[in-house]
Amino acid sequence: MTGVSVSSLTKAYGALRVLHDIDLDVQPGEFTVLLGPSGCGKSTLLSAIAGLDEIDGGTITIAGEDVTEREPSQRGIAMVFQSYALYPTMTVRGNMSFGLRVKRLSAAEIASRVAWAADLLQLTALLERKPGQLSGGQRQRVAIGRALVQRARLFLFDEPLSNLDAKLRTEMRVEIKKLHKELGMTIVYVTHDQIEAMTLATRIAVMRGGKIEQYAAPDELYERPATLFVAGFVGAPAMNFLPGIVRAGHVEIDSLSLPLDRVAVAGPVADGTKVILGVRPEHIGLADDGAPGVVVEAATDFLEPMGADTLGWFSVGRHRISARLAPQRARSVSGLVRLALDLRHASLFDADSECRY
Amino acid sequence: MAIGSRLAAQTALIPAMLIALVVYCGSTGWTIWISMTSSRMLPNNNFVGLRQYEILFANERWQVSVQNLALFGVLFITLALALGFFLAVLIDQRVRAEDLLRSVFLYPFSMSFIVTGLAWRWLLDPTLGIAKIAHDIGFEGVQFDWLVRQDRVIYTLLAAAIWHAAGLVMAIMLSGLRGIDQEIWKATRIDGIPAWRTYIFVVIPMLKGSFATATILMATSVVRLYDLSVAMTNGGPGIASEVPAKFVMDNLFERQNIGLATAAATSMLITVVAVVAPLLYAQNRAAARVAR
Amino acid sequence: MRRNAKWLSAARIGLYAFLVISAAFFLLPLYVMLVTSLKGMPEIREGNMLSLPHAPTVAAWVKAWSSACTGLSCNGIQVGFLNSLKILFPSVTMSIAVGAVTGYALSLWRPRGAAWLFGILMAVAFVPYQVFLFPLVRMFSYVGLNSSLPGIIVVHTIFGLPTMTLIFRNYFAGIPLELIKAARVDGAGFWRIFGAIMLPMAVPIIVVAIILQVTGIWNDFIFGLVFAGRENFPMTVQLNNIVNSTQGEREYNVDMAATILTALVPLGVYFISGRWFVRGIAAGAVKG
Repeated sequence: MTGVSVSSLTKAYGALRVLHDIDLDVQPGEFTVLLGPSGCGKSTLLSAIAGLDEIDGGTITIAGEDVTEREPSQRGIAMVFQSYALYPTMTVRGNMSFGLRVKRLSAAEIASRVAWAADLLQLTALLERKPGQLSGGQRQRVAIGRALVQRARLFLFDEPLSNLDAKLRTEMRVEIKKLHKELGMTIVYVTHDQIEAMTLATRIAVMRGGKIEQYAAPDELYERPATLFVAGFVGAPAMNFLPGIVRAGHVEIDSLSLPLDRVAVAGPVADGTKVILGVRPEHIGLADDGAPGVVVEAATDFLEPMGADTLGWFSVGRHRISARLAPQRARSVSGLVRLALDLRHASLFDADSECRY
Repeated sequence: MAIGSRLAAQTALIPAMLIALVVYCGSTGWTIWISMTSSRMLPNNNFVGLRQYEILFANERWQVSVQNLALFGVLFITLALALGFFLAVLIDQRVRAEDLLRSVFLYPFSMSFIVTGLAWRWLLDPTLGIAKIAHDIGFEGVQFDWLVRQDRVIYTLLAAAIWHAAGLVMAIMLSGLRGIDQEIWKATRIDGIPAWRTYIFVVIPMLKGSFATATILMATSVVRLYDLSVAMTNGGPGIASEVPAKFVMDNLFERQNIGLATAAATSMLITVVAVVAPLLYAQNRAAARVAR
Repeated sequence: MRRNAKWLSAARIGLYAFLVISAAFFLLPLYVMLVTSLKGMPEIREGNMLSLPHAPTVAAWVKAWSSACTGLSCNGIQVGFLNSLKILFPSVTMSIAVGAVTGYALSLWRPRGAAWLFGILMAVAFVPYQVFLFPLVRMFSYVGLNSSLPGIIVVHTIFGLPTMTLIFRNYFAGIPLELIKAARVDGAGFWRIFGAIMLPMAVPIIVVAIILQVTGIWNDFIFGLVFAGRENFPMTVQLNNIVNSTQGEREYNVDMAATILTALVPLGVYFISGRWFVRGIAAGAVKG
């Protein structure tokens, strides 16, 4: 197994810089997800690792070897594409064995690898079919099979599940996770779906505007987002943001004043600093039910039942915040309520730099 | 990108690039150059400026050729478009035997201009053709002798050319009509708009692309018009059905006057460029608008 | 349903009447050619052009095929038929091969010079051939290709290039780029991707190209006249020579038989290919 290391990678299309000085380190056996909105450069970064796009600067190392100048097929990688990119005129077997035939492996070796991957992915019965005769999920499995037979050092996935419907997507997600667990390969996986990222990744690199905003384990990313963007992008329903000013150890938000000593910050914050306080909906509860935290008065706006929880929307001064409530309890919520904000789990960001304190 | 593959892609283009540079650009340049020399049977480099063009445009045969082509071109494209579109609209009325009718209208297009020309030359034969039938059934006054009349012969070429191409227009228009959203028809019916108005004000504007395609195809064949004239009339009677392409061919290969021939060819090229360039420019701009 | 189909009225009758008359107009020349070719000369001279032959005979067909004269030689149009076949197969193969490779390279690889090359190709599609003829004849003489079978084959490849490149480029441009990427990750290069993935996918457009080129090359007159040389005159040129040969009485029946024989191959292609025929022409006409 093998790691990937990207350093100072830059790429531009003409005057448009799409990747700014990217550094990324993927440990052997790690499942790294590149997460971000469309146009953030995540797919370009993956293409650069694959060698499908030329880069303007920086180096790419796979398993300790500098592969920056190598062709895709010389990098020891396998790749799964968003559209599956199956060769339509070849059978499933033909698709899976094409790369091996190009590499002139022996017929016996090719047959055994295809049989192994087909067995693993339950494709054995479909080996002689053409891609046109397969369902979306089956095609996806063939695409993964085509990657598996390569016995590659590194697997690259480019939004592999985004063409599937919601139910299949969940199933395939589980299957990919299982494969990673069983085979232990190194994976770099691109998606814009944060649930996919959270469930699959050992580490997530959140990207925006051609830069990596934060590269951390899912829990860390969720609990201690490094930037306002990460905080807003990761987590659904989204984190509540309350803009305010720091004064005498408190964050003043309009008429509210919340004590800063409860918030986990790395160092002292100077008076007069404009900040943004981020609190996730699950860290806001009803004070009357014994929820911990700083109590504020709020007016109930409306309730959104989501099944397991109900999302309550409240007005606090000029701001609207959401709280995750138990459905049974939420039914009786109306009018003025007392909300408890658990600031121990809150995040504090600088309003200008958008970075976490 | 892979170095090897990029090299291979570049190598794969060598034949096309050679053809483009040597044959297309090289020949065009050479032709233009010869047209400004005093070359007759063999090319020479004796520069005479635009002398050949002066001779050319004073040449009666060339003047007739150009007039013929202009008249033929305008009438051919207009009439073929009209007939083809009309046939397409009729066939689109859910008629019986649609496939048979389509085949019948389109088969002439598969045949060469030589075959077309010979067939029509026989059909319009002034002694044994349609003329004789008209004569036999008593239309003494009607003279179907246009093939041998100087002032009418170009219309016989026209008839043959329309016969050859109208089916193609029909096919292009029909596929355009079939591509129109059926909801449009429902909408116009609900609005109570009569069918003919719908065709003129809704359908024809929607078929702009089909009209453009058909026009481009026919315009290209108009400029290249040569075989039909050779087979049907060989330019006659006299010089009444001469066309520019034939003028060039005759001066190149029979009259040994390549200076004049290349001047004529260059004039054709300039005309085509003058007509096509704005069209392509407009098309590109329209495409760019759509892309945005 | 667009309009009420059961509404059989004057309009409907008029519609069918016009269609039937049009069909008659389109069929008339073919019918006249056919009946003329089956008549003897006396009947042609005295009778009605439209009437069916009293005593049908294939004598004119036999003569047209095997002993009609062009100038001094009297070997019939079969000579031209064989020449056309000899020209057809290599020309169709070569023009499609070069066009397919060029279209593939242009659409999926974006090599240097792609833009201007494509621009020139598209421009040439409109330029009258007369502009190229003389220099090309000189060039061919210089390299010994003039008036030869290889010469005419090269000419068809040269002038088939714009249309062939265009249809293949447009077709390949519709193929998802990810397929190429997948193949590159699999280790396939330019030619391997072309042979193993693109060509098998391009079967429909290859059929279209074959239809276009077979009819186009078979129907060609001007290139055959200028570049093939007397020995290799294609059927169209020979047909014109037979009809215009000045010796003896004009035999309209032989002329018409020869004309139909010349039209048989493209007519066959047309009736076998059906709607693909139109697809082909439309594909070649949509520029850029």
